[in-house]
Amino acid sequence: MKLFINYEFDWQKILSGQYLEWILQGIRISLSLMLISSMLASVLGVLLTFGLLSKHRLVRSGSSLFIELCRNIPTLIWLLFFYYVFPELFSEPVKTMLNSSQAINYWAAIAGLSISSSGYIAEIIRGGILGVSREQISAAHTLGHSQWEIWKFIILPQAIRICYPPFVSRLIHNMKNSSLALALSVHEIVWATQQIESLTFRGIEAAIIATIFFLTINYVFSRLALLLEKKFLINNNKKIKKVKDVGGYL
Amino acid sequence: MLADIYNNIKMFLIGPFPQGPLGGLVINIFLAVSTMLSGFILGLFLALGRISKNVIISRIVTCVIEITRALPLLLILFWFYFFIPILIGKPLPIFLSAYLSLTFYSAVNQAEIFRSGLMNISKGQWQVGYSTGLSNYQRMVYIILPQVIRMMLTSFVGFFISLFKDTSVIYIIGIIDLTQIGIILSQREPDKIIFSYVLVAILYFIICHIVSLYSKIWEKKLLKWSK
Repeated sequence: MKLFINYEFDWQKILSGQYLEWILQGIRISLSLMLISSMLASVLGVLLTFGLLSKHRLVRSGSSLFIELCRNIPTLIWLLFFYYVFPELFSEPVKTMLNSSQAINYWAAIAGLSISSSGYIAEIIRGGILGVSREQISAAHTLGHSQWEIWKFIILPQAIRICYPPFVSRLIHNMKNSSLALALSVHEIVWATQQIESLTFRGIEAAIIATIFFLTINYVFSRLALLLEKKFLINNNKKIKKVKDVGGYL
Repeated sequence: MLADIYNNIKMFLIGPFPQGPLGGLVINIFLAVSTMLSGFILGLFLALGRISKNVIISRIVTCVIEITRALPLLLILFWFYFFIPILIGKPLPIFLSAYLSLTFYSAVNQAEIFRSGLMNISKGQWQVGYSTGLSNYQRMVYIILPQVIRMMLTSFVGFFISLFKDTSVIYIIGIIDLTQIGIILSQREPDKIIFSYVLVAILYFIICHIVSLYSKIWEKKLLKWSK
C-alpha cells in the first residue's frame, strides 16, 4: 500500500467561471437557509412551549406529541417529507402549482429544518422555565405580584440564563443540518462541492472551501453568542478552571 | 393499508436480502451500534488526549475535535469519500467509508461527553487514586471511568439516538439504508408515495422512542442506586 500519492492542487479551475459561480451561490443559499430556518425554528419553539405549559389538556398533549415527532424523526426524513409528500396532500390544482414551482425544494428544506429544530428548542425553553424554583414563584404570589410581573421579573430572567447555552448549540446544530438540503438538490455549498467533484474531480479543493465556510460560520456565530452572553447575562468561569485542575493530575 | 404494510415490511426491515444485498433498517441499526462502540473507545482516547499534560498532544487533539465539531456530518462523509482514496491510492468501498466517517463523527462527539464527565469529577477522587498507589491506568479504569460513565449515561443515550437518526444521511453516498428503500419504493410505485415515507418515519420513530423510554427507566434505577 502506497501512502501519500502526490496530489496537485488546481485552484485555478474551480475558482473561475461556472464553478466559482456555484460556490458563491452556494454560500448565499446556505446562509439564507441557516438564518431563515433558525428564526422560524425559534418562533415555532416558543409557540410549542406555550402549548406545553397551557392549561388545556388537549393542547398540552398535542404539543408534546408534536415535539416527540420532531425529536424522533431524522431531519432528512422531514426534508424529504416536505418535498415529496406535502404536495400530495393537496388536491389537483394546488398540487400541480406546488410541483411546478421553482423554489419548492428551497422552501421544503426550510420547513423541514425549522420543524425538526423547533421540538428541541421547545424542550430547551421548557427546561429553562421549569428550572426556576417554585418557591420563588409562590413567594412572589404572596407578595402580591401579578402574573405578568412574575413572568417578567422572576421567571424569564432566570429561564433565559438557564436555556441560553443549549439554545445556541441547538442553533449551531441547525446550521450544520442545513447541508442536508443537498438531498433535495437545493444549490447550497455542499451541493456545489459534490457537483464540482463529479464534473472536475477537484473534490478536495471544493471540500476545503466548504470546510472553511462552515468553520467561519461556527466561529463567528459562537463568538457572537458569547459576546451577547457576556453583555447581557452573567457568566461564570468555574468550568474552565476545573479542566486545568484535571490536566494537572494526568 | 395493512396488506401494503404486510407486503412491504420485509423490504423496509432487511432490504432485498436473500436475493440481493442486506439493506434497510438493519443497516441503520448495525451502523449506529457499531460506530457507537468504536467511537466510544476512540472518543475516550481523544478526551484523554485533550486534557493531557502534554501541550502538543492536547493542542492537536483540541484542534481536530473543534474542527470536526464545526462540520456537518455530510461534509465529514465527503472528506472520507474524497480524501482516503487519494491517501491510499485506491477507492474505498462505500460501506467502509461510511463506517469510518460515522466512527470519527461519533468519536469526536463522545470525546466531548467524556471530557465534560471528567471535568465534573471532583479533584479528591483523582487524589485518592494517586495516594492509594494505583497506577495511572488502574486509577482511570477502577475509579474515574465508572463514575464518568454513570454520570454521563443520559448524554451517551441521547447521542446514540442522534447518531441513529444521523445514519439516515448515508443514503446520499449510495448505501441502501431505510431512507433509500423508502425513496426506491416511492419512485417505483408513485401511488404509494405517502405510504412509503410515512412508514420510514414511523420505523425511525419507533426505534428512537423505545431507546429514549428505556433510557428514562434506566435513569430512575441509577438515581435509586446513587441514593
